[in-house]
Amino acid sequence: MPYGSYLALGVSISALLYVTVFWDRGWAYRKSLFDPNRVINAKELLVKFLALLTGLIGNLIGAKAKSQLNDVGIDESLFIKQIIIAPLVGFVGGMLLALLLDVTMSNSIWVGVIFALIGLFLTKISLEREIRIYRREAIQATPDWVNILKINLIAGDTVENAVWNSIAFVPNAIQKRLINIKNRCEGEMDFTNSLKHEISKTEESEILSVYNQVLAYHVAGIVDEERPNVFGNMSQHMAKIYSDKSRAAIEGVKGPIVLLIMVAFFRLLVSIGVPSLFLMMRRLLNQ
Amino acid sequence: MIYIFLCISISFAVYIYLSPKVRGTLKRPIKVKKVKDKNKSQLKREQQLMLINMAPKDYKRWQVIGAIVLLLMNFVLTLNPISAVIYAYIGYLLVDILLTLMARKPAMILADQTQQFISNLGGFLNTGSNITVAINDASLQLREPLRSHVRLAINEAKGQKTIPETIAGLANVLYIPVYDLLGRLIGKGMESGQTQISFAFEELRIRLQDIEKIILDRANTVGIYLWWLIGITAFGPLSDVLMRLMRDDVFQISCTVPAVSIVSSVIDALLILGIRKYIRVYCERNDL
Repeated sequence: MPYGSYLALGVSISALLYVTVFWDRGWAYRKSLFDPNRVINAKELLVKFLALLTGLIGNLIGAKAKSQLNDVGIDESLFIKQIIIAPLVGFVGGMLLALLLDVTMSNSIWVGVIFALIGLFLTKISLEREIRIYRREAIQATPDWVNILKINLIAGDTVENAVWNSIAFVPNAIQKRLINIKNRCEGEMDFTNSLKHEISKTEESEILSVYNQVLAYHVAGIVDEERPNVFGNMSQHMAKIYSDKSRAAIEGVKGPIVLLIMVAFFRLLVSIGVPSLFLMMRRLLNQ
Repeated sequence: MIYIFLCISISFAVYIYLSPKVRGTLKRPIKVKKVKDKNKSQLKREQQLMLINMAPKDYKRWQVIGAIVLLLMNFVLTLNPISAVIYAYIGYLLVDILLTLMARKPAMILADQTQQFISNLGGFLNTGSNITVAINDASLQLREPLRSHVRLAINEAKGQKTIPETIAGLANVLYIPVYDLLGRLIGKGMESGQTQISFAFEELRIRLQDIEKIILDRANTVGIYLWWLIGITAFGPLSDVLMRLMRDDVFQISCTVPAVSIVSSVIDALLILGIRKYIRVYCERNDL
């Protein structure tokens, strides 16, 4: 054991002795009463340090990622925790793996660094996956949303009210965008401007076309004779595109299942082939 | 190097654990526990249990029974505790798969009857009848199990609730979100008149038909591959039993080499996980 560890042990034992024997609890209590923000406990010090670190990383991830997290519905602090923990777990796991495989210390640190980078990469991929699922859900729900808007408009709502009344009946992915529009509308903007702001932010063409149509109806107004034909056949066309897409997606399911069938054959090979091979070898050697 | 690292980290952890708590007597802000929302999978399981009339407690009991049965079966065969534990997990999964398969047909019947109800409603409205009368007539044309649910909803509307509310409430009972939309449509129809709203029921019916078509397509294409997968996977554990009965000399070798039974049980668990995933795809119905 090298001398450094003796030193560390000595320091830690003396710190423990100081804390348990010489610590003036009355002084600490009085201090904490007069100055509540003063950190005395080591646990609080650690918590404060972690809060500082999360704040720092929260500033680093940027405004776009923050808005994406808000859209998808992941808690921001949870994501930051993941950013801290995933590389740490990768580093420690990689180092332990390298030490188990008898790699030298200096090389095992590099293995740990590589695993930490993989952990960071995985967090990024997981966020992107969540965003993809969120967008797919939104695109799936657009035909029904158009239908609800159409029903509300035909029943006699104004365009603005038709959008507000549809909020309760659309899935989460569209609901959040509409609530964003409404929040902006209640504060600083009118309906047209807040819708334009939302249009500038959206990237999905399906939802964009609906927004533009709603904006056009709101600006130009709807004549009463045109009310039954509002939105045309938009929802049917969208539904047809969605059904075609899902039919194409079925083809993608076949591949993994065929792969699993091959794995099942491999299992038979392991359970029947390997023991019979052993038996054959043994008989050959006995002869 | 690593000893220093370990020593420092352990002593730091002990120091943090034992450091004095001076602020125990001062008031701290109370933390409010958040109530978690139910997952999608939890909701789906509740629906499946509702469809086959089983209590969640019973389901958990069946899962434990399945785990114990497969654990004992594998332990008697291989005498290997690790593979027996993995087989217990497989038994736990198999009950889940069985539940998904059992709930498939009732869900299909409910969806078909929902479609029938909506198309009947549209038909009655097109002929010019009043919307409440149309709901009553359409519900009388239904059969069990949906008939009793809808009749109950109509009867509930004689109390404090209105018909749109009770029809929308069916979405929470049957876990089919279309009823939420249907209640909204009926409410709008009561406000503005049935002649203006009857087109909406027609469109809803067309959309449901499209979805049903997609579901059947998916089930047909996935099903063919899936039954092959299930058959070949089932032959794996079966081969162990057959070998024990017919060629015991080969089987004893696989018992003496524990890696064989462990690896094969791990692969079995992997395959069962895959089967569960694609059984879910096979039985999935994405409603409106």
